[in-house]
Amino acid sequence: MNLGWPRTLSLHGRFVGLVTLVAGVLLVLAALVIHQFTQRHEERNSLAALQGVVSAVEKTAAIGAYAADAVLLQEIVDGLARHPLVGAIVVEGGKGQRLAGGRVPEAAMPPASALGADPLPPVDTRLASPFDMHEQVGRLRVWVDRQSLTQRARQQAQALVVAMAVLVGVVLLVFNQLALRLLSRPMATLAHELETMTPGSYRPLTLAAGHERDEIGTVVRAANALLASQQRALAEVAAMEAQYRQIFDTTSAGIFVLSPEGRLINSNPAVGRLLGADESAMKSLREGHFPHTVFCDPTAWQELVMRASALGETLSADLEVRRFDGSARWVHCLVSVQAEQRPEDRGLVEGVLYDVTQRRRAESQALHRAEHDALTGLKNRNHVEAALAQRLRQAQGNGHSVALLFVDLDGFKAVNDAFGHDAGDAVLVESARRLRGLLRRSSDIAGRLGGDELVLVLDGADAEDPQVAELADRLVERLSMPVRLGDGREACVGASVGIASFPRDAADAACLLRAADAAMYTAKRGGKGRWRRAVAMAAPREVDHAQ
Amino acid sequence: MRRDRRLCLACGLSGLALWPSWSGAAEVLHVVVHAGNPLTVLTQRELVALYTGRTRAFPGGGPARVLDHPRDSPERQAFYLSLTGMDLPRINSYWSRLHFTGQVQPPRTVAGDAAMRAELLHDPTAIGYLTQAPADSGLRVVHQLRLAASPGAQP
Repeated sequence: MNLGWPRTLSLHGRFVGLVTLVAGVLLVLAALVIHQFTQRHEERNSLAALQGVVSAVEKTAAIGAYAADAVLLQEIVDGLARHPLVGAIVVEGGKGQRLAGGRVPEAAMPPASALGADPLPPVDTRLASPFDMHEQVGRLRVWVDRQSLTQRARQQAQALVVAMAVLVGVVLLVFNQLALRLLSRPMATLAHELETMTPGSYRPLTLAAGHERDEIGTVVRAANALLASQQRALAEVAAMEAQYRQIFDTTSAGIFVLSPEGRLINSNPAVGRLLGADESAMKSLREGHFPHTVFCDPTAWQELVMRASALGETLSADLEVRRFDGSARWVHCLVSVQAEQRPEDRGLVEGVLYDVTQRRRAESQALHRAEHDALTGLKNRNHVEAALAQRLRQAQGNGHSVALLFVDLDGFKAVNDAFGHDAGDAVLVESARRLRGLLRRSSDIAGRLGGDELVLVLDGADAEDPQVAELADRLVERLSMPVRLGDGREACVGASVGIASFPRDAADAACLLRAADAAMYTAKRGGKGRWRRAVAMAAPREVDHAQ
Repeated sequence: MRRDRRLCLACGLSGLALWPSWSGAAEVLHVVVHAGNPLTVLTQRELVALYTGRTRAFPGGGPARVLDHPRDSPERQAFYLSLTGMDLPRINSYWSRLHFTGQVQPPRTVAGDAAMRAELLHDPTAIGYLTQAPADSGLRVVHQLRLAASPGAQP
């Protein structure tokens, strides 16, 4: 019979198993009680029945005993013996002598231990004289047949137990079917549907007919409501994720996540675009050490990360990155290090990169324009004055000297007039180039103060230094060399140079410039094409250095 | 041995429809044996034992031949009623159970006092009962049975 058991270890199986077990145990107990009961019942019934049978023959037996009629008594005994209940019969006379008997009393009375009960007493009937009821003429004793009694009691008990077992079995079957139909099958269906359900694949649970108003209906409705709300929440999350993904994928900012060891875990397409990296390049990027590969100065990046980690803030800096085509780019980089949340995320480095190359370029150009003379590329007056002041402060601090060579081109106006302004400009550009060629160190400055006035700042040099004199010689010589113009002609200018130095000739930049300017005029007056040192302090003494 | 006419008179006086043949004849029945029998007196209990077949011998030891009146005679009814307190149907029932086995013989039946007397005179081992006290010396009364006051009453 297919009972449609739900799957293994189901509640139903355990429940039915336990109920069956309990029913079985109770059945066994009931069988024991029933056996005892039927035994007692049968004993009582047998004694009562025997009593009746014996009563029927009592008078005749009394006559037989009175008349000592052994044959009559034996007839009675034999008649009694045919009764199935009767085990043994003894008729005794008035003096206790045995007059008749049937079967063996011992056989009718098995050992008490076999039954665990006292042997049944016989039905003991006093036989009175038919003519004098006070005279006892004998005694009729009839024993119950214990074996047949026990057998009958056992048969009755068995029949009762079998009937009870059948009843219990039927009740169990009905019970099982009802539990299966009302509880277990709907529960198993529900459990199966819940088990096979995966997040996102929402399918309302089926509510079996007839369970609308019971606990199963409540569970199904509640689960469906929960699933529906979860479905809505999932959809919202998915939509939000799609939005974020869209932003992540399409933003111009490069977003990336690094492991604490510097391995690239995730990045958006903008990172690849920024670095000029195709798929394979991105793949190699993921395998290598990202900061070492990408940043021109990995140490700057590392410091940024360490500071961001220590402060627990998002920090930013402009860093230069190396593109895969070899060119460099400036990026504004925001860095944060994850410190909380899930342990597996701890130490992750999140970075955002903006391409700021254009801005950097514009900035540097503007700076360049602000500091340089547009025509010659030399430093302009503003920058020269500011830089000179800065050099002087430094020199004052460490006791050095700063020398200033003030240059004015000789015959420049004539060139302008003779060849035009373009030629003048060309002469200026070439002179500037030659001037730059004389710079000794990065802290030296070559500048154009305006017109044909050029300056050379020699950091750490004194006007009296022989090297300065030698350099001034070369300066005058070089600038005096002809300049080839664009059209093949040559223009020729000269140079008058005034030299002053800090702290020998002036205490500040303006005074130094004036002192050198004055020395230059001295050189002009001295015949041009030469250099002159400023006359120190109050007593200027100009030394002529004719070329 | 004693003759008592008054018994007969009393029997006649108190005679009822139940015992028509010797109505008013006697109020005592005489249990009689042969004069040669050594027995002189019998108790009622010994008499019952002899007449119910319980014993076949006199108390003294000699075998006894028990004589009785016919089955439905008034003498027999009066005798057993007085002796055992039982009416005839019960006595007959008693005997019919014993008849069945043939082990116990009922008393021999003799019709009437005269025949009974003749049997008694003839047989020294016989015992019987008479409505009239025997006049001849050949017989001896060993027990006088007073008739039950109300016929049919149970003991």
